[in-house]
Amino acid sequence: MSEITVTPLGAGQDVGRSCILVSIGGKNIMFDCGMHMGFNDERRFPDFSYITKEGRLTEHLDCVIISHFHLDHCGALPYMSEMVGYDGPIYMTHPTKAICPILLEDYRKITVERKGEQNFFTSEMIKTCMKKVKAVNLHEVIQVDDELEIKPYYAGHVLGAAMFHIQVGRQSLVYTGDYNMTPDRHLGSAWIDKCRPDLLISESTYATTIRDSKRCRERDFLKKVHDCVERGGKVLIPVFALGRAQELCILLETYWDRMNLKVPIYFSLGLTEKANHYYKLFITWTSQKIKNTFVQRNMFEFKHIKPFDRAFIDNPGPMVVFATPGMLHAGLSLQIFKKWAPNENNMVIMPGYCVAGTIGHKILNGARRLEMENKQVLEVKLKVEYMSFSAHADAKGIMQLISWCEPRSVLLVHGEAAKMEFLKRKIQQEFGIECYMPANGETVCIQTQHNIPVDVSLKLLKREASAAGLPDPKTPRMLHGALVMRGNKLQLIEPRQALMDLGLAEHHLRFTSTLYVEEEGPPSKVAENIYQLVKSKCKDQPTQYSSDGSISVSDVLISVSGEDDDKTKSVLVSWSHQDEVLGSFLLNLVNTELTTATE
Amino acid sequence: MPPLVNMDSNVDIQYENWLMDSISKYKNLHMYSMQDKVTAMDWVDSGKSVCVGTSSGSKHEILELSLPDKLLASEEEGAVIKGRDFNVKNGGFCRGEITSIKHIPGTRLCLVVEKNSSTVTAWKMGNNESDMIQKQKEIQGLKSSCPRLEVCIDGQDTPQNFAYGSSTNDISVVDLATFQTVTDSTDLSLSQEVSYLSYQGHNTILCCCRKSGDIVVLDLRDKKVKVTHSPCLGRQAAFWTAVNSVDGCATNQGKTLIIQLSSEGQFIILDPRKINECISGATTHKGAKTDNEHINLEVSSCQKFVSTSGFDSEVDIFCFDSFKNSDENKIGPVFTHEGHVTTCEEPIASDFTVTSHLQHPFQASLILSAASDGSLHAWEYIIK
Repeated sequence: MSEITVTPLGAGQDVGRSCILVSIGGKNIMFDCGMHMGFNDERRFPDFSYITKEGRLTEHLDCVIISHFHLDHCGALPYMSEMVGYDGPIYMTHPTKAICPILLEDYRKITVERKGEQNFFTSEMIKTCMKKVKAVNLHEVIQVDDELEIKPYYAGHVLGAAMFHIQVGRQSLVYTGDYNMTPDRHLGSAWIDKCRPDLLISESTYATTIRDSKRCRERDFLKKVHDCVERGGKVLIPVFALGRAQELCILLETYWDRMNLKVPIYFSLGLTEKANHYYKLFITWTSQKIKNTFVQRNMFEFKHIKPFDRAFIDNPGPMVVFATPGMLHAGLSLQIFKKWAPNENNMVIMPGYCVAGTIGHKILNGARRLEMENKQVLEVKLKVEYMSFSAHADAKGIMQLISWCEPRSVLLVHGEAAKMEFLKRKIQQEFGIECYMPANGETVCIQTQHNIPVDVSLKLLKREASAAGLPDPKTPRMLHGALVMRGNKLQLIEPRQALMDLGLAEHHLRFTSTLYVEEEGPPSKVAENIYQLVKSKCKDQPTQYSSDGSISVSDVLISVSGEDDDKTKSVLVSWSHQDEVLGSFLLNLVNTELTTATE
Repeated sequence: MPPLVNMDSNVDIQYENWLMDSISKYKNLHMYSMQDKVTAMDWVDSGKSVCVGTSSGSKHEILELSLPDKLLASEEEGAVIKGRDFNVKNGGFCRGEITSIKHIPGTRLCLVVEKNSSTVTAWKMGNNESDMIQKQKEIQGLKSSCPRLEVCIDGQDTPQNFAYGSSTNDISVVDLATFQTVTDSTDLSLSQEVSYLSYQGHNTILCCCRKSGDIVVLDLRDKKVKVTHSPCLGRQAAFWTAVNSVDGCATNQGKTLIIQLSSEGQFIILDPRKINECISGATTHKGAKTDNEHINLEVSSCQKFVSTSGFDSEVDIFCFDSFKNSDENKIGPVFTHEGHVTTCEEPIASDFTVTSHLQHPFQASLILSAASDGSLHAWEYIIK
């Protein structure tokens, strides 16, 4: 028996700090290194002191794996590698490697430059950290070292998101990161081989949720935009350049075409170039639809959507504007918001999560009066809508993934274990496997049982076949031999051969015990009694009664001695180390069945 | 590479078209995909959550789902509403497929009937400590085998009794506090299979006979059950079900009516005070079902509309005003929800049907509907 240990340092939830430590086959791996965006203090980052109280992490970790570019999965990476100290390899997919530093830099700017926080990682640290990253391709098997192997699978969720299959020797596990089991306009659904890992570590953000379909969310988005422009209002959609902006643009463009709407739609300059660049670069990571569209035409050459000019802000009449940044903390989106907020006909649609302290976060929490710079107060009268397009697996998706990869056990990374008893039992009932839900800092040990392949020498097999006949494949049979390790291989050979190879002499170990029994008559009569007794009790053992009065049962020897007229006879039982079980049995038999005398 | 869906197929275009059209047809539309199909459901907690029975054919579950905030909050309040998903609050495992669930108002208990079972079971939904739904009591029916048990709970705010049975002469009334049988209808000589039971006040139970459509009234005031048998003229030979116009409605504004629906699509409206007289009726384009296993009839909380499902893949809404006292009154639905079949992503099975639907007790146009492919839709229709 060997084990896999898993300790979440922080995980789950939409905005949690995913970071899971795993020990498998003597290797230590960190899955994700996220930040908690709801905190400004030390709770923001995972507690790395759990790994080591002092010194660098390099010697304690064999590798770090990042599943996707969301900050709750990679936000603590520069802190971990540059401020705590880690020089080992960091694995992530190509799109994640490209987008991750942009997001980290954006977040650093908000934190340090806008909120004025100290003790945070610098731009330089992000660069140094990214130099340690090794980019990986889907389905490519990467040999981290001689024993540790990793293989990424498509996870959907966001551009470049991956699940990772880890193998060390015969032990294996799958870490899902965030994944999505239903395809959308923009990305495909997660996919994995029937890899039968010992453990599946799955996200469970939406484990107790039955999610509204993606198309209904899109429908709602279109309805809201349409209702607003029909009333003559202006719609502001703050977006992150590399998030779902492109998807929403395609959606609006299609709808405008269908409904024959003339209201102008704008997007901020630069958005299209950046997006085009990344989507072209990573086209294989998107859905079939986008790939097809790309062949026919450039999908960002829109009929209805035009570049935005700051002068348009004050234009009369309805319009729809996509503007960066997504959290309304700076730039064009904030500028437009300030202008449009006082008019109740207008609307702002927040298509994602906002960091605490940003305007986006405040208005999503219902703030209707905002204090801006210079103590000015901004009255928020426009309608605020939230539309999450995030793609996560819900309970059905988790069950589907389990049935695909058929793990031996499942571990759900999440906080609310008490409210997930039903899901746990459901997994146990449906798949007959154990389900774990550790809290942060709690370690789970998963016992793994593995068959160790052993080469058996032909000589040994031949001898066995000649002694006991050919084996029946349905019944197990004991085979004696010496287990030796040669190089990386285990071999079962004849004990004599092993001794010879090692230049050792053979030693025989025998155990002998003498009992005294109260039996009258000659010893041969007593021996005869014992012989009959043994024969009746050990029918399947070769039993012999030799002329010198001794009984041999397999390799166990029993002999009786004493004078004919003596009331007490001594019975000697002797067996070799190999016959321990039979020897003890016979000794016990004589002891209980015959009247033993005290000396 | 991972398998990716080609979204350009005809099915997808049809889906897309329907979804785009839905923008003007529905005030709200949410579509969910359950792991297994929903076989029965009932409101819990005044419509804040719903208790559903699901079945994959081999495994069966009972779940309590909380309704998304977005469906319950009124838009005028101005707060930002984020929740649009159902949440599995509690869950449990059953032996058989659930054919009927009735939540007991004011409690955390549900009465459940499983397929081909002669017992009614009471299940307790989880609380703050656990999210398991556990079986609490098992009440054995009067017959050891019966085609299908029907259950009804007395219509008070804190109900005291419930009744169950499969035919007119095996109905038992059970005290909810002790789960002991108070009275039963075994003395009745009339034996007809029932498809619907309903309390009319505290002492009267009204039964709709499955094969004749006859209404039988059991008077519980005397220990001995009395019966009023009402053969009503003009009923088609078909399978019948019924609903009481105040069933499930939070407010009883209008007068109580009995609405009957046949598997041939015929409506008959009765006054419970004069059950052998048909007030009005209508025939619809629906029908030709060989059974009424899934046929479901619900009345909107405003008591202006009646919704039907179980004939095919649609949920139809009919207006009360269109029912008339004439033999030749053919009516069509004022609204039809076609979403289940339009959005079905798998090849459509020949027995594809809407398995159950519910009208919200307060929100007049809010409906939950479920189909045999595991889809669960929550929608608010607009009647122009």
